[in-house]
Amino acid sequence: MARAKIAAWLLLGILAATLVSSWIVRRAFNTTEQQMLEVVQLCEQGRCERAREKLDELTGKLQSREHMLALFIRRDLLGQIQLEVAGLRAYLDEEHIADLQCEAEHALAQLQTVRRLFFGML
Amino acid sequence: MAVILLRTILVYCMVIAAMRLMGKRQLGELQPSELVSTILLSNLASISIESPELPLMASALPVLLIVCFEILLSALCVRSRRAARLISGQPVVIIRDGHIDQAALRSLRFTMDDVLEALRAKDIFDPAEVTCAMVETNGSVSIYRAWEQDTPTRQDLGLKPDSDAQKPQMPFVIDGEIMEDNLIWCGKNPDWLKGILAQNRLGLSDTLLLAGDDTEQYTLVRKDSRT
Repeated sequence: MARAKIAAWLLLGILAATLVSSWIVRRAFNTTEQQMLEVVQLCEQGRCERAREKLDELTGKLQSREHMLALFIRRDLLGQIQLEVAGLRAYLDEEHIADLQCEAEHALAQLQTVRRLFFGML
Repeated sequence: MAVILLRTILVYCMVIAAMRLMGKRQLGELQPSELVSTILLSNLASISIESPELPLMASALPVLLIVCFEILLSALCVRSRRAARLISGQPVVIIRDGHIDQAALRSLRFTMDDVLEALRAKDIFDPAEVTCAMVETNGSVSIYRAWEQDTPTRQDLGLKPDSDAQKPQMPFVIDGEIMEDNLIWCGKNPDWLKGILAQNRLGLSDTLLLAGDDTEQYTLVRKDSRT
């Protein structure tokens, strides 16, 4: 019966890990999405310098969270998101607003795909 | 993460149901849930090794979950006969008093060849010699021979033991390590052991095997000196 107790505790641990991982991933994705939209908005308002700072902040956060997220999400998918986000930097000026919007949409779609892979049921 | 969890549960239940549906013929020596665990574990364990881009959790979590299920299911089976019957099934009698139960064979999808093969494996060539044969939940066939066909025991023949030993010969020392439980069970103690080794001018580390029973008989094998 000692084994059954261990198994029960293990099961609880697995459930806790599942809940924690869902919370971590959801929070990271929500923040990334939100900050990416803020970057685009700032650039649309003509505050491109601030948008650059915001993007640097976002890429820094993504890099620092990568180790944690890689516990739950495929590394290649995480790498793709980081590339998409970092790629926005090239369009952070008033002449390339349309390109920025397009690339941001692309990055958001990528984020949504990974989110669906993680949270989707079947 | 929740997807991995749910998929593991789904696949586990699905494979168990499939194995139960396939019946005893598909099983070797394992119970259905054990076989399912073995199949899934072997595959899941290799995932993270084969695909480094996948997170370790993707295979570790399902493996742990399956182990939990296996232990909890077996604990449930110990507590509840009904659960045990549901998960592992129950033994089915295929021969009674030499008569083959053809309905049972059909339900198990056992052919006559399968039955004869199982009997031959137990040195029986005529089903009439069998009082009772049953297919166990792990797929093996247990046989009880008719009394007149069964091998007589020493008691039947009235033979007396040629030694006073009541216990089988047990190892007391293996590769220099003392098996204290065996010593005590055979009514010996470490002093007796030291005495035997001293008689043979051997140290504990020179002893490969010292085995004995509840008499003074023993078998001693010394280690070869490595050159």
